[in-house]
Amino acid sequence: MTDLRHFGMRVAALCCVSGSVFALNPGDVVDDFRLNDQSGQSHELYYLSDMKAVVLLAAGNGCAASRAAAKSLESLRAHYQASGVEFLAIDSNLKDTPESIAKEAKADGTGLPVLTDQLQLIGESLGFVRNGEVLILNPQDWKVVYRGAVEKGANHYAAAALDAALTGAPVKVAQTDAAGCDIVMPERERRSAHAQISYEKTIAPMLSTHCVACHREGGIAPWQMSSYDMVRGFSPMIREVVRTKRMPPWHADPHYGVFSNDRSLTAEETKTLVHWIEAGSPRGGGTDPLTQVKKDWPVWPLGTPDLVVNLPKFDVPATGVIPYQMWTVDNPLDHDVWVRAVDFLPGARSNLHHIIATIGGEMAPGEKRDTDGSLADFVPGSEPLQIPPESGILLKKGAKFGFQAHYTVNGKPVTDVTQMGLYFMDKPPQYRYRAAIMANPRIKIPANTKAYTNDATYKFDREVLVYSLHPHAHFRGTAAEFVAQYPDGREVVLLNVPRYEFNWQTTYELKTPIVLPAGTAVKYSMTYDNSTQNKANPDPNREVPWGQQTWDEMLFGVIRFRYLTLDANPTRTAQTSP
Amino acid sequence: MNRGTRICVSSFLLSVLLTAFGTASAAVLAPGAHVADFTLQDQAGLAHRLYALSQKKAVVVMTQSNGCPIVRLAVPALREIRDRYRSSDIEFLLLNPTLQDTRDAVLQEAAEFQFGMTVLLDRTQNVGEAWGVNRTAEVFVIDPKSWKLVYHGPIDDRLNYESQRPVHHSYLTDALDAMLANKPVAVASAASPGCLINFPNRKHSH
Repeated sequence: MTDLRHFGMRVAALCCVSGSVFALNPGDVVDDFRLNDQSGQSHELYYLSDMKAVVLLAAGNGCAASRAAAKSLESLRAHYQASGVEFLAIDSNLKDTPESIAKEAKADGTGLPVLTDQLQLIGESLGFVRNGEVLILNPQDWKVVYRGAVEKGANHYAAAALDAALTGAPVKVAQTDAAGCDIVMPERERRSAHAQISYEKTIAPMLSTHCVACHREGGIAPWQMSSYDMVRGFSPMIREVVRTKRMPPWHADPHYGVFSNDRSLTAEETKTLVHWIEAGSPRGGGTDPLTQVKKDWPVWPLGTPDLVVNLPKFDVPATGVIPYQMWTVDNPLDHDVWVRAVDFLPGARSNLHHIIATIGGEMAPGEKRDTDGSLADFVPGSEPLQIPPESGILLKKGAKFGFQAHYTVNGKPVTDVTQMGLYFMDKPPQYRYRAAIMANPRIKIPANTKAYTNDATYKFDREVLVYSLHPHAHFRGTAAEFVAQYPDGREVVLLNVPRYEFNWQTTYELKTPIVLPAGTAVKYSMTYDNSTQNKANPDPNREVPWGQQTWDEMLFGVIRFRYLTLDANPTRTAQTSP
Repeated sequence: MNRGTRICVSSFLLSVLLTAFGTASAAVLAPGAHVADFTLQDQAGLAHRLYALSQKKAVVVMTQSNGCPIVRLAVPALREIRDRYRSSDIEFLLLNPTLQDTRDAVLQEAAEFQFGMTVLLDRTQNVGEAWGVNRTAEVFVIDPKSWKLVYHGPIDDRLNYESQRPVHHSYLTDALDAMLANKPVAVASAASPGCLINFPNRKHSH
């Protein structure tokens, strides 16, 4: 018995010695991350670089120590927030969900945002061991200045550390033991197993599936996943873009809706990839599948189009910010056709960031016309638009195509000629593939404001089947949401984009189209960041109005749908939200 | 080498390894720190010795790796500054401390993106390690009179991940102007966005 206990202690000691390699101690640097809180809002750690200090609490439902620490932090927050201290809780407990976290926070009456770390990747890297512990970070260099209990008896450690941090003085007691509830972290105990993750069998196939369509020769991505050496060289960067949710470029909150064009890694894939990198990106044995990636990608994956439309030639400079290009191109056909699919063939794939194609230009708010205007969008890595079989888009003879093209620079000048391929139906469809436009041209975004939200609503007067949702804003757009308000008063989030990314104009295609009954209103809201902390903001000192160009703003959302009952007259007049 | 020395060396290596893994962040060369001499080959195979530049008014080195969008956008800006300061006798160099970029690959990148600049190849990562390089597009400004680092950070505050905005702080040219006027550099370091470079032996990330 004694021996066994002794053995147990030795194991524990060993575990802590090896664990100390991964422990996060005062003086260590915390890497950037982005997590959603319990209400679906996105938080990026390094966004808080203008703060004087950041306090992170390891929180967990049903843990008295966590609850007590949250209460203490509430009062510290009341005192220190005005001095530039940000307080966040992070819940890395497997059993806690955004709903249960929101419920407990409400019951406790605490107002701290609780970031949900359901993959535990952030909790692992922060060295979280028990709920109730706090970390205090200095945003100047992102080093830990204090780790431990908020307070113990008369010792107000966290407050003392904050007082020191605010005056630039050294923190006297930088580390204490925090009492609390243990966080179950299965992967923390499996660090050595992570070195066995197979590059050949697991990592390379994952990258081939999710990344190589763009990270290939001739793809939009700036570098190619063409070998193990390339992947290893970029490994720390891959870890960073995954932790900060910059890559893969998919920005929907997985909590709401399932989308057929979801580009994200699964939870399991994300964990495996990050753990492999944290284990040193081991090569292991076997072949290198990335050196054998197929070289001949089809020019038109859907086959030769029925009509190829050439967009104007555009010379992209080496550097600078390029205004949106607005083009009108004649439709050469002498008869009406119904479109079943649309694809784009970019000329300069690494510079073309998006195209929004319309028939006759996007409709202005309140406008009425014969066709609703929307045709298709191109974003890098996107699939062709394939309209469900029973629906189509009417292209009338003599109509003009409208294109909004956005280019980015990459350090060398190039010339682009992009082509649009259209695929026609043999006979008119039962339904028209329609677009509902939600726009608010009266926005005035105040200067030097971190979060300003406005919205527009579209009410469906008939029962509809919704296929896709598309939020749009410019450099200051930062979060978008589509909420269905049913006639019976229920509200359902159709899409939450907690981190709207202007560079990726994604249309979110519902995996299962949803029926909205007649009288349902969809409220589309966009939040803008017009502060200096928004690194894409051209001028935070300006009140920003509506405008087509990227230095102005738009509150513009599109829903693609069809009527649920047969269209008696599929060419009926369309209209936008007033 | 006798047995005693060998044990001594290996225990030294072990302690270095332990130290490397025990601290989370690399020892970054701080402004004011001494910069040791080195000799590296460039993309054309020519050798360059740092201390051979002792007659220059300043040595500016920017880190680079192939395929990184931020440094591709930073190179034209650095080239423009080089041209603007042509009469001031300042040396401008790129430093590639990556494991993956071969000399041929760097030649190709330099040609494709018209670098027009010497790229020092540090494939052993010795210089990158010694300087505490973390990302691409980090600029190091060295004073050849003292071989001390006087500035470490980005060219300016224009570039960020997938975005750029008008310049508000011209850190590099401010530093160069101060040096040329024999004045202290007001902002000696700033946070520098760029692609993380893999230094496998250096540290554990958090």
